[in-house]
Amino acid sequence: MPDSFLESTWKSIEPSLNIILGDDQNSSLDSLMYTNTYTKVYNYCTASSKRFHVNNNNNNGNNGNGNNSDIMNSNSNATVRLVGSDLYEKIKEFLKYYLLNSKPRDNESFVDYYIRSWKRYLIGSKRLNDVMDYLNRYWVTKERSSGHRDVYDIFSLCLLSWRDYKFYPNLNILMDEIMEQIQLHRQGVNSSIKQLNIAIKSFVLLGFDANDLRKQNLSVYINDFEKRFLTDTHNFYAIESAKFISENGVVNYVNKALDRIDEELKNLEDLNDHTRKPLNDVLNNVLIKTHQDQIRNELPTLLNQKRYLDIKKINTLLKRVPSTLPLLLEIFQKYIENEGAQEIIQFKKLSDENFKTANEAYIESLNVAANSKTKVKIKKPQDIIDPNNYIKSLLKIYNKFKGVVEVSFDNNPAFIKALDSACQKFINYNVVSTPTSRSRPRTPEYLAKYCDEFLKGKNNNINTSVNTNNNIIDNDNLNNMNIEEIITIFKFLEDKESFEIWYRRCLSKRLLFNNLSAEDGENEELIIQRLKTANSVEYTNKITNMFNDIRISKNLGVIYKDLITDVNKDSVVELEPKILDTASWGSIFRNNNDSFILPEELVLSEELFTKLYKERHNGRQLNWIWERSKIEVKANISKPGKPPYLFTVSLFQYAILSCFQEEDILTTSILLEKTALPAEVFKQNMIPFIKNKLIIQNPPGEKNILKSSTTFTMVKEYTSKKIKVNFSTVKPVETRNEEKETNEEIERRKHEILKAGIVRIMKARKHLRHENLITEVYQIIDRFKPTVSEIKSAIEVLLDEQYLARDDESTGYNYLS
Amino acid sequence: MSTNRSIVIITSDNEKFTVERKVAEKSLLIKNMLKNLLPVDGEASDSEDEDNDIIEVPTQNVRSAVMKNILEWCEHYKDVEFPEEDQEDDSKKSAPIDPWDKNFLNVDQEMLYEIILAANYLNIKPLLNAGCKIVAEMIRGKSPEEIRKTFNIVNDFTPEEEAAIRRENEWAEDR
Repeated sequence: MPDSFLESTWKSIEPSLNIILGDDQNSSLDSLMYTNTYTKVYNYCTASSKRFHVNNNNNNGNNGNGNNSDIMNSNSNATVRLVGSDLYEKIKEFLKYYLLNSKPRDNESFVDYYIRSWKRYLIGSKRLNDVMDYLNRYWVTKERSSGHRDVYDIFSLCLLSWRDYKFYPNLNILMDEIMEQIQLHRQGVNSSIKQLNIAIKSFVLLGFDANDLRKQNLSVYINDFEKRFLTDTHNFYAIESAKFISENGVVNYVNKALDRIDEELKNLEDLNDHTRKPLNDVLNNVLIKTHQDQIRNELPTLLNQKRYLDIKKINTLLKRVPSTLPLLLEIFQKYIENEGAQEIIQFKKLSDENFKTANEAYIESLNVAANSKTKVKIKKPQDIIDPNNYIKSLLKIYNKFKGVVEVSFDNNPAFIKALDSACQKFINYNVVSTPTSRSRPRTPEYLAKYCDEFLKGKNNNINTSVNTNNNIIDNDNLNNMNIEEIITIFKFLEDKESFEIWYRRCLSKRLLFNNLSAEDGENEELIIQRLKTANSVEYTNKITNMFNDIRISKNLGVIYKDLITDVNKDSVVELEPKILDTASWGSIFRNNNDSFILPEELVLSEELFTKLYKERHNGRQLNWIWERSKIEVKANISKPGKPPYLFTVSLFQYAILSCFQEEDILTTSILLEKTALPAEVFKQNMIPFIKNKLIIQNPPGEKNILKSSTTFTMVKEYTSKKIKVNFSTVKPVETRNEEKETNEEIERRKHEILKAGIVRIMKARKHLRHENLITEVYQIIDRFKPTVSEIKSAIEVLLDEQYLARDDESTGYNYLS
Repeated sequence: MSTNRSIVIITSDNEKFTVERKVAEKSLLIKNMLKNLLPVDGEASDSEDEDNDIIEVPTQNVRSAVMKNILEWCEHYKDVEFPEEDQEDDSKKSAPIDPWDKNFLNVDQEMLYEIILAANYLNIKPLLNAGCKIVAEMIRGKSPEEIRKTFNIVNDFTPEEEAAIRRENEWAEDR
């Protein structure tokens, strides 16, 4: 049944609706038109309800109250339904008609038209929604609250109509044109289309959640835009990147890829943020993952060419895809290992050559000396490898790549770790440290010697003998030696035990034979502190004790001095004792000259001091190490009127001189008898006297020294330019193989540590299978890497010593308490 | 469009009220309308907007006597921001009427209804709510007969119908 009121209402508002949504003439909306439309809708809704009511309640006695009866009585009949649906349907039809009749202008692309009309339609929809406010408030709200989810507020209805009549029917052409624009933009073609983002954002608004219209629903955006966008993006970059990388190389490609990613992320502003992650994934895949091998493999070349900023770009790019990094780290680590190995191979080669040259020069000079009867001017080269230059070579590589990690990899901890692993490898194992695969790394030894050089002298006099021909590294570098570098290398040492023992050996010489200045002492302290921090208090225990011994000895010397002032001065000599604890020093000094007879005049001093020491430290054993003792004597054999000479001699030399107190001429046999020195020791101690012409040998020649009939005469008047003469630089008898000795000490020490460790483990476990024991040993021994055979031999010893017993199956061990 | 521009409201009996914009904007109808009259790109610009500082708002459904009251209310609340209407909020519905509103709405029944209707038409929710609460107060605690008397309603139920309605609504009885 046609509703005449609805028709008349509609007729009066329809022209305004066209203007509100936008007509061809762009007519503007005025307030009269606006309120008129609103009022018409209001009147329609309220009047229709009233009519409905009046029709059913003819007896309404409420006269003259006009419109108010619908408010007061609308619920008096439960069947009353608010009017609105007819009007709503009209609007729906109107929108459909409006949208279907809107067409692009001539020469207007679809996307242009879409953007233009959508912008206007969106505004119109908001206006229409407001003008239909009464319908929204009273009819739509109630319909929706009573479960009619197919009824929408007018704004949503507008969007829905757009979707159904404008959007979906044209989706293909719309998407084609949008994607075409995006691709043109990527190709750098300036597009005439403005505000493409408005078209894209329309996809967002066109998604609906029928249950909650306020909630954003991206279903349309995701299904109809994003999917296609991502696929097209992938395809575009798949082609572009493959072409670009093959035509322009990796470095240019990396720059290009970074730029592309930046651009795309910037363009995200035009899209919904939902696309951020999937777009990132697509870009990472197509631009990075696909080409990752090629990009990574460029690293060594770039490192060779020192193109660190290009490497940084590679890192920046690959970092976006964390799964590409482990292989990059691997390449980086391998590269450093190889560089380190090569550096040391070069160093070794140069050292060998220099050694050869130096040796030839030495032999040459020997020949010259033999012919011209002059002195040999060139010293015999001693060692092929110079510890300073060796350590400097290691540091060079470390510092180089530390710089790379900083510049190219932002000090990323993963790269620091790769650097450390690589350094640990080449620092411990290289042609110098481990010439054969089974040799023990010598780097700890070289580092200890490096420390020694550093601590012994600041002004480089030290490296004259060894380094004169060795110009691998400029000598100036030695000035730059610093504690930081020592600790750097120290941290990489696998065998810290060897280092400690070598360090103590060097330290003992510094403590005993070098007068440490205050500055030296400070440096010594500093290193110990740093070692303590880098390892443990326990680690530096013995080193610290050595310093303590020297200090305590000084005090004891003072006490002794006080003591002897009470005794007859002539019968005792002053002593500068150095009491060294065997535990810390024992490995370094061993007394092997038991046959020696102490000259009588020194006996009282020895006894006095021994007594003093025993009083203070009851129960301690005191061993005198004669071969290390030196003595200073005043010799009254200068020309008349000249001051007496001061001779520094070894104790053995003193014993020899002492024999000449009574007689001027003595034979070898008498001297040997009086001093009770072994023949070779006697010979070596005698040579400095003869060379310095204090004693005249007859017949001369080194080979005659030990002939029993050879005579020695002390000169009556000695002449020397210097008042102080040092005779005590005695060549050691058996060329004591320091290295061999130290290595034996290291073996012993490691063996002990292993034994102690195994006992500790077994005491806790009581029983363990062999393999498990080995594993646990590896876990607790951190100062060096024991070999399986070392562990096995330690176990064998413990079995012999009955700390352990094999279990019944012979696959493990029991602890015997 | 300047924000402090005056608004002229024209009532159904052609009386004109000149008010501040923010007073007029207490009516959502007027507020939305002012917003929607902003010209769209490319739309013919309204010359009146440029030269004349006055916007006329015809309100065909409100007579001047009622509008006077409505504007008094709007003036009183012009600086108060009412929170967005939330239909689920029951606490506001049961809150007592503001004393000022109660006094303001202390008018004869006919005026009260007209104010309620106008508030509905102009979409002034706080005023509409206040008015409805006043009416609810008038009903509360009264018997059907008293309610009929209050609102001048003739009882057109037969006794049977009335008994049936009572049975249906028994659950709501206040016992």
